Amino acid sequence: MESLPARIVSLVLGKSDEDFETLIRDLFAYQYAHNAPYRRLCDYAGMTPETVENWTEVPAVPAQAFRRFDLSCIPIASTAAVFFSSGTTADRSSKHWFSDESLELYEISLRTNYYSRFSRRDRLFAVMPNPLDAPHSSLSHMLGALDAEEFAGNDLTDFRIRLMAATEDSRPITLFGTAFGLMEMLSLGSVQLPLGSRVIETGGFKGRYRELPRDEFYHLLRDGLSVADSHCFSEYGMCELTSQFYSQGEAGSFSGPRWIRTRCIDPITGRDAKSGSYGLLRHYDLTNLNSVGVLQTQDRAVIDDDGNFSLRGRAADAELRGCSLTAEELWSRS
Amino acid sequence: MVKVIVKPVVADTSVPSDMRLRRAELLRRYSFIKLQKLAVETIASAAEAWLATRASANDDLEPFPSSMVWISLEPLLRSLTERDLWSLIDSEGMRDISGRDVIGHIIASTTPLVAVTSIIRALLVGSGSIVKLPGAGPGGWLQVFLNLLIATNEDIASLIEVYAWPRTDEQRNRWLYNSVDLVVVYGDNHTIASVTSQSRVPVVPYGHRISAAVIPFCSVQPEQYDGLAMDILMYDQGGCLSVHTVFVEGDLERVQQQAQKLSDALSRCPLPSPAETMERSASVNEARSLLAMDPAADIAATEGSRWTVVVYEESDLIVSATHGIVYVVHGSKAGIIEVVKKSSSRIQGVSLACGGDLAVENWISDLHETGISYVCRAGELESPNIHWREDGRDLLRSLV
Repeated sequence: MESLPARIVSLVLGKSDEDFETLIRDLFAYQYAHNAPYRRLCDYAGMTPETVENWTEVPAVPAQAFRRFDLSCIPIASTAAVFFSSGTTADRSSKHWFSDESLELYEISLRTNYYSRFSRRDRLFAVMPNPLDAPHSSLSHMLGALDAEEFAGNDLTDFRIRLMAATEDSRPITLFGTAFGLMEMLSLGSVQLPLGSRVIETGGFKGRYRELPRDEFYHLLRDGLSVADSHCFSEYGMCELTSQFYSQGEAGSFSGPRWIRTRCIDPITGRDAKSGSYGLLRHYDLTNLNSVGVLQTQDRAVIDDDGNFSLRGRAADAELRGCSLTAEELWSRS
Repeated sequence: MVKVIVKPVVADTSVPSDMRLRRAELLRRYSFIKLQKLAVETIASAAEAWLATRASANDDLEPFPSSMVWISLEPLLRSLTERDLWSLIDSEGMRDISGRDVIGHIIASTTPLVAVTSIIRALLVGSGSIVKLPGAGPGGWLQVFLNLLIATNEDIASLIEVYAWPRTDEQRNRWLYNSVDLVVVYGDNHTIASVTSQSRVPVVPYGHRISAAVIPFCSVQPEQYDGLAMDILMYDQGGCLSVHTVFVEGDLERVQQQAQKLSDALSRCPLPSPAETMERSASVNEARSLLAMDPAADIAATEGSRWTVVVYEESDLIVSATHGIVYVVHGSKAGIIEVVKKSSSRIQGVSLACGGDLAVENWISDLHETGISYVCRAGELESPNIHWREDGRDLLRSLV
């Protein structure tokens, strides 16, 4: 029998029709055996590979666990790469450790997912740092793996000039960037992309810029880059997750590849949120090979019957509280 | 016009409040000595009336139910006698000594009695008060207090204005700083830093703190565990007097026994349970999962999100990550005292669960020596009286 990574690669490449449930349960058994912090969580929940009867019962780790623990199935010293949620530092950031096998799976899966949606013929421009300059940014790594032609780095003015020069060629361009980066670039002036070009935004504003409502932001993209709404996309991804979701147009919902499943959980009951009600996204990602396959986020969303979801903000606990100290405040005074 | 009703906004931010003029007018009519006496009499009468009527805010509009608030409110009101108030004034040498003309109170907190006690302190030094509540803050209890003051003495009540606006409203924040001579701010580090950088007048900061409890090596009665449970769950563990860490004198075996008894007491605690919201459950679920992954933690939890007891290997002051999480750690008496001493600037109070009077006396004395100003028996932590020296400082003198 093939190894687990090989079986997942086969599924990703469409070379096998092994069912998702078997694979996620086998992945759970592997991670339960080799990932000590995750095993402790499973034992606390009373869920082990022997007791889990259904894929939905596989315990989820909170995304925050990637900040607190080294979630790796192999010794950290043997890992091949690590990505940080901030892209620059491990301090208080999520750390996602990859083995050689899981890094290879990451690259295969991101390419398969991307090229199942977007043309290989388009020139790809990335509004983000070059992976050589940001080796711990999973986003930069992804665009590197997609052979992006140009990266913005820290000089958006120069990048915009290079982008404008590229528009002289009629070949469509896909402009992939963080919402913050795209907005910064467009603040320098609009760019008329060739017919058939696309823009993919990701990552939100991360508190670095005034937040724009989605409709205003999409309006800015359409007007500033001369692309139709149907050619504007959003990517939903995170450092803690190996797979990506994409949505098309301002009103589009996010859909993922066949090797990831998503549920919307009502945290009060622990069960799926009622149809039409929002819950918190829980992802079951077969490509999270070396860490943990099931991730509980604080992202609020509504999900449809096909598993596509629309985001509704985050489940931030009430900002206003009593006069009690928080752990962050305690640390900040230490 | 008596400007004491909780108002949603300041009508005209281009003109400073006329509080200073109003106070000057009162001082022309009364001498300062008489004004201070009148303030003491008015507060005492209003407190008496409050105890008699047990008037409460509307539970539907407040973050905490009245049955919970009254546990804190009653001991406070009972300590607002003329004798107690003069005793407080004299203990700080503030008889016949005036505070600043107008004091701004910035309340970035959901706990309902912070504003009430802050206003009382200002009245005791004859200062006018302009109170800024948060945009969605607890105005109901303050409104009840102000109504009682109006009914008792309109002149004293006219020394108070209360407004509510979000902290991001820079225009109204500036109006406040331009209308006062001193700012008292209750809030987190961010709020205090923001106020300190913007205010042109002196700032008296009351930063966020937490409280702790100690179970000394002595016999502990069931009612003392019940008291500890109250100290943990009052105000959904959101007050500076809420217990986050319980220090148990003894070894790991004893700490596990004590944690079990504490869990039992938390289960039977009669305080009303907070509503299970998605945000609350998500926050508690996440915290429990992270603790479950931590090899130093051993968790016991209720079915919902109300409480979580964590036996933790590290003997340190640990801050709860979210609602109702309490850490139980162990050590020798000397070790516990050392930890408390090291963290004393972050600890508001310590409650003691112990049956033996002598042991309690010894612990109180040792804890006071670490710099903790408020030490009490289990169950009394959230019920301080007016003599409580918040942050261990002179509360009235700081208003001069």
